[in-house]
Parts: sequence; C-alpha cells; structure tokens
Amino acid sequence: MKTKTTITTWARVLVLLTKGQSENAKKNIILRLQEQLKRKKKDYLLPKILETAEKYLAQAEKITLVLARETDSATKEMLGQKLIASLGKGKKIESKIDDSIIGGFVARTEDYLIDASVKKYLNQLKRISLEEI
Amino acid sequence: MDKIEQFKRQLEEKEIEPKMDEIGTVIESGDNVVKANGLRDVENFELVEFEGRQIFGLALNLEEYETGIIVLGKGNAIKEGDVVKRTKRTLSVPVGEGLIGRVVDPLGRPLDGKGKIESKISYPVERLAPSVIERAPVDKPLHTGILAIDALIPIGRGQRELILGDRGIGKTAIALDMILNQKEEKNRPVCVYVACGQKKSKLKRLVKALEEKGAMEYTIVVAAFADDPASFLYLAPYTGCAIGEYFRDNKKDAVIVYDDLTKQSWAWREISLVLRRPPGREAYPGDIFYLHSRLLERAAKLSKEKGGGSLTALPIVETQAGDISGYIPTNVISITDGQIFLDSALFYKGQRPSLDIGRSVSRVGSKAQVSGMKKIAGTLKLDLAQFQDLERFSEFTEELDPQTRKMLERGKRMRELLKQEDLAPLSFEKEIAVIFAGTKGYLDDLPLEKIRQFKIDLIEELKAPSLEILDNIRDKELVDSKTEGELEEVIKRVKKSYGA
Repeated sequence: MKTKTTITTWARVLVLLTKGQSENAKKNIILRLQEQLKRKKKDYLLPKILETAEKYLAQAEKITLVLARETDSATKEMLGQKLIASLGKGKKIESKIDDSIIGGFVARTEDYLIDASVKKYLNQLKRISLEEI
Repeated sequence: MDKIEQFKRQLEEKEIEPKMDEIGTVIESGDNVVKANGLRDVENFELVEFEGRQIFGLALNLEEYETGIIVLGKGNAIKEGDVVKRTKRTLSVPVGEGLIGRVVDPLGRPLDGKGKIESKISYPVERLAPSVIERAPVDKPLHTGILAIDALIPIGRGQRELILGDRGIGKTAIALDMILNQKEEKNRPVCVYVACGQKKSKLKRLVKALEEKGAMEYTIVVAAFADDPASFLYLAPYTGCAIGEYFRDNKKDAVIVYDDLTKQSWAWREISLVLRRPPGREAYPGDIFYLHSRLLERAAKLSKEKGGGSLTALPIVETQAGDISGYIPTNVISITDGQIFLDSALFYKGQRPSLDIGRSVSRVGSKAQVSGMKKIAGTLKLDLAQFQDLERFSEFTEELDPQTRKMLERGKRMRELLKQEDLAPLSFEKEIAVIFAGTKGYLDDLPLEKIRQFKIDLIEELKAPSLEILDNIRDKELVDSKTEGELEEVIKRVKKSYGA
C-alpha cells in the first residue's frame, strides 16, 4: 500500500475505533496500533496517523458552512440552528466565504452535503436545457 | 417562444430543490478506478456522482471503510479530496423502439449525431434472467442466411450460440450476415450489435454496410471502443442486453451479438486488479465465469404466458492459435447452447465461412429448423463428417472402391456448395433449393470448379417471375412433391447449360 493510503486508512480506523471510548481505552488502542506498526517497521508513521486522525475527528464534529458573502449574525444564527437540527447535534459551525457559489449556501459535514447555492441551481438549469431542448 | 414554453414545462417536471445528499471523499484515484471513504449506506452497483465534474461512477467494492468505484468517463479529471455523492439509483439505460437505427454508448448516449434518443422507458443494466417457469423450449428458427450454419448448425430464437475462432477469420462477418439476412424474414427480430473494444474505423465500416443494405432500420448498435475506459467495455454487453430485453419482454423477437466477450473479460480483469480483488487463473478474478453466465442467461425464449418473446444471443470469443481449450472459450462454451468454430487453416485454404464442422455444434439441433430444411439436410452433417474422415484416409491410398469414390466426389461438391461470400446471405427457401441439388446427387456429374457458378445460376433461374418454387417453399416451409418435381426440372435445365 502507498504510504499516504496507509496513513489515511489507519487514521480512519483509529477514528472509528475510538469513537465513544473512555480516555483509557483510547490510550490502549493507540498503544496497540504503535505495537503493530513497530512490528511492521512502520512506527515512524504514527505521528502522521495521529495528526490525520485528529483532522478527521475535527471534521466529523463540525459543519462547514459556505456563504457567498458576509451575512448578518441573525441570519447566520438562524441558519446555524436549522443546520445543527438536520445535520447533527453537538456539531460546531465553521463558516467560510466563497463568492464562486454566487448566492445561497453550501453546508457540509463528513457524510452529508446540502448544496443550496445559486451556482448549483444555474448548473442544473444548464443541464436540463442541454438535455431536453 | 415555443422553446421557452417547452423549457418551462420541462422544469416543472424536474426536482431542483436543494436536498441533503449522502457523500464521501475521494481518497485515491487512478486507472479509472476511485476509492472513496464515507458513502456509508451506498449499495452495490449504485450510481454515484462526482460533485462538480458531471461524471458518474459505479460502486463495486463495498469494504469496511472504503468504497471502490469505477469511473464512467474520463477518470483523470477526478482528484483526491473530491466529493462523491450517492444517487440512490442503479445504472439504467434508455430502451425501446426509439433506439432502433441508432448508435449509442454503454450509458445509452447517442454517438451518431442524430440527436436525442426518443425514449421514456429505462431498464437497469443488471437484471435477473427469466426463471425456469417463465421460459419455453426453443423451437422457432433464426435463419442466418449462411448455408453451412442453417443446414448444419441451426440456431433457434432464444438460443445462445457462441461464435469462436482466431482473429480476422470472419467471426464478425457471420454476425453481420445474420443481421443482413433478417431484412426479409417473417417476424423480423430486432438486432442489437454490441461492439466491445473495437476500432472506430471497423465499426464505421460495419455501420456503413448495415446502412447501405437497409439493415439499420431494425438494428441498434452499442459501441465501446478500444480507447474507452475499461468500465465502458465491461458495461457494453450488459447495456446491449437490457436494450434487447425490452423487445423480448414486449412479445417481440430480438437477437444480440456480443463482439466480443474476450475484450470484456480483459476489461473486467483490469478493473478487478486495480480494485485489488484476488487474481486467479491467468490473473482473471474469481467471478469471471459469473460475468458471462449472468449475461448469457438473460437470452431466452419466454413462455406464452409471458408473451412468447425471445432474445437470441450470439456471443463472439477470440481464440489464440486455434486453442479452443483456453480459459474464456471453455467458460463460454459451457454456458452457451452450442458453438460455431472457425478454423484458420480452413480460412487460409479459401473456405468461407471457415466452419469446422466437427467441432461446431448446436445443442438445440433440428428443433430449430423448418421441416423442409430438416428433411433435406438431415443427414448432411454426418455425411460431411464421414467425407472428411474418408478424405484424410484417401491421402494414404489410391485403391478405393467405387462407393467410397462416389462419397468422396459428392463430399467435395457439397463442401464447394456450402462456400459463401461475405455480405451475401441467402434466404432459407434459396438455401433449401441449393442443398436439395447437392444432397439429391444432381451435382455429382458437374466439374468441381463449376459448382459455385452453378449455385449462382440456379438461384438466378429460380428467381424468374414465372416460377413459384421459392414462394411455395417459403409459404409451406417444405418441398412438397409438386415443388420437388418443378425444382428437379429447373436444376436439370441449369445443368444443361453446363453441358452435363
């Protein structure tokens, strides 16, 4: 397996195994992983695996909200509450500005995507017009 | 203005509201195969879409943490980190009458520049084959127009008959002749030609030939070219099959040619290796038999209750140096109901079609022959096999009894009679008339080199408007005593012009 794939695969496994575990159990899992890697003479990959796993964990716990331009805090608050209700409680919202989406918003978690952008809407219209006419 | 109104109506039918999509992330991409994580509830053979790329993929490997996806398009546009989303649909293609006369790719998109395909019905590419109860025995002939095949290895509607042989010795020509011959057939079947891994120039020639002979009126071509991604080559036969099934399920007859399944096997091997599935014999994956069996089982003759439609499959497989015992040939031989084996040695000796009678067989047999052909060509295969043995034996001795000598002479004439040019199929009534002349011994006193010309002249003579012989054979599907007398007279008349 390529090094990069090894890192991402192990990081993913680590995230899934440690989900909902106590601190002690988490420690044990990491120690066992270290032993496995040592046996395969790949223990030098451990820091990178942990770093990637942390990134995945952070990603799993956040909702990325992309807006076309700065919006007032009341609208943001309202949108945030609705997104948390539908995409998962306890998640933090991280907002970004990307004017390429033209308008609307895009919300993304690890497993779900809500694309309510004007860019997507226009692309759909383009696709339909090319298909049908 | 009309177009705007039309567009408005079309928009009303479409759902373009934002919705929550289940997604994953591309973690590896290469060789038109992508690995993605996420996509937790994705199903096997589900269509997935690469966000923002307008490229689709097919989920094939569902592992604990990853999903293996084959890309249905140019995979080099997909990058690590791209979002891939579920569509919750299995791969389907448009089917129906609107496809007749069209050339499409394995996703059902037009390749012929004739505009949008008019079809409102879609069939999934992977479907279950009809069950035992839904089937009926094969008993209706599918005339190929090739004398040697219709007389010796008859094919029935709903049968699966393999065509195999080395490259460049006329496998496609047999399939093409079969398609051309359907033009004048009663209850003409719809023909589907699946070009799998072929050169664009070859397909262009083939479609041109079909157009020139008016055969595109009832033919559909599904094409995956040599430079298409392996996923297209893998899918093309299944797409063709789904298109053919529409006619089978709607009480019609259809015939499908898979040209060729060797290249589909190569494509599946390539995909499987990139997906890291364990390789087996010749590096093919363990399910290589299932790849072909589930495809060919879909060819069937349906029972009356199911409408009585049929789908006949003519898969083509390439052999290496005439090795019939190769992995893929033996697999497909065991799935099909017979095989037509083309021998390169015979081809280079000038025998066209280069049919190896001994190694070709139809397991449906004479049940798929009209009674006239059954009666006239009943013992022909056995006689020709005996002749071949005798011919080999006669190479070692010169002292032969008159009976053996007579058999040899007749065998040589029959072999000459069965030779046929490409793109010149014969209708079954003409075939019956020609074989009648041979098996009844009318050619025994004709010089060997004149047999082919005699065949042409006899057919021309029979076409005379004053004669009703061919019409009688076509209507009654046999040679009755009155027609037999008339036919004998015509044969004798043509022979006279040769001084015999």
